[in-house]
Amino acid sequence: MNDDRHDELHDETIAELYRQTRAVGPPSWLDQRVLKAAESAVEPRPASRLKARKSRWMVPLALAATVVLTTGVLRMADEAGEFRGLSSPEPARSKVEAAGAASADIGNTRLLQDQRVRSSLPEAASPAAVLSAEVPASAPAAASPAARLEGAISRSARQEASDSARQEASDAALSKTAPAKPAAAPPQAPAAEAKKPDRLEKAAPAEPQARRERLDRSPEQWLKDIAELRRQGRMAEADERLAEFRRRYPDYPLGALEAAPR
Amino acid sequence: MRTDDDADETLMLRYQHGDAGAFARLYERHKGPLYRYLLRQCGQPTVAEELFQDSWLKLIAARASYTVQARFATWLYRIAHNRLVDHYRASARGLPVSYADDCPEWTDIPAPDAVQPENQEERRRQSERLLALLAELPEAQREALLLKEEAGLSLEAIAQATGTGRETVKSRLRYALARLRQGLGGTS
Repeated sequence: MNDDRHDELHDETIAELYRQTRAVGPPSWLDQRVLKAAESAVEPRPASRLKARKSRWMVPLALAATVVLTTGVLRMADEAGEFRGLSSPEPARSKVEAAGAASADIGNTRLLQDQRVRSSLPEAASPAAVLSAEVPASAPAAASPAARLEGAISRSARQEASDSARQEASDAALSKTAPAKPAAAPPQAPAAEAKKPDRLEKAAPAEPQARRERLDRSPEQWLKDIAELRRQGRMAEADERLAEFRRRYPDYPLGALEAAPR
Repeated sequence: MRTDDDADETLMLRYQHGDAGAFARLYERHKGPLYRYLLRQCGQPTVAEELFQDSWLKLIAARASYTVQARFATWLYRIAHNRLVDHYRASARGLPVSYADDCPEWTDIPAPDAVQPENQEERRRQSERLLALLAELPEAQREALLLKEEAGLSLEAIAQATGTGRETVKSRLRYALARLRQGLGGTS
């Protein structure tokens, strides 16, 4: 209301004259529009609430679906070997090598699971790179790396007199490939690689469990076993294991084994 | 005399909780003064209608945040003032000087019963003159006078609604009254 304490700010004549001008007001259509807006703002709208409830779940649902789909696609791609080329330390692999690696990956998984093949190559070399080391880049696509590996194994199998012809063939093949690709990895590299999960091993259930376990052992444990064989007087077997160990870990120091009695 | 249940602030709180009837009472109470305030300030009925509607819609949209910290009228006119300032900025303050030409309805102003016929014409002419003088005032001075006469706001409430200081409002009012008295030429 008018401030009585400030009479100098109030002129009754002017106020009276002004009051006579108050007949004007907003048009009726404007009244109806404002009142309608006010009513609709507070009236319950179940349909819109349901819509709001739906939209509240839409974002989390979409995010969850995205995560599930992405995870599934990534797993499928990983299992199909789509990412193997990305982890290779040699980025410029030829397509022929990649194709050969893929075909060998499918057709010769039992040989691929032999970790000695990988141990003869630099650390972090993918299975595709391992096979491509065996197959020349200029080799025709029809002669798959898997076939070449099989040939190498069969040739060397005749030179070995061991428990399993297949196992020894693989060993012999490795003995030929190892000098061609000298291992530049440090001694701990094979151990680290041996700990890596190998899906190809999972795909080869026919591999003898004992051999796989032996291959999966750490170098230290391997040397301990050889020393134990020597202690038991099983020298031939110990030498055989030692030769196998050297192929797998050519640079690993044998200090502990040398100290053991022969 | 308004009771507490009938106070503007109570009605606004009721509307805040969904009582559309409370808003209708508020609207009926304030629509005339607010409309005239905007009409006097912008000078054009069409613009005044737009500003009037926008002010009420802003109030409706802001109902959830309403708290009784000041008079409802102060809040309402604060919203209207802000909308008016937006209009000034958008239109480069293009206010018409002659208000009577834009408001032909003013010729239909009903005269009080007590006024004699010979004085009725004189009063009507004086009111028209007052409106013309009002339209010629600077916007800030006119706004202060309108908020006092139309909305019945105190100096403090005018200061709050317009975002200025109390002394500034006093100065504006004093200057506006002096200009109107001078323009009416001895009617005061």
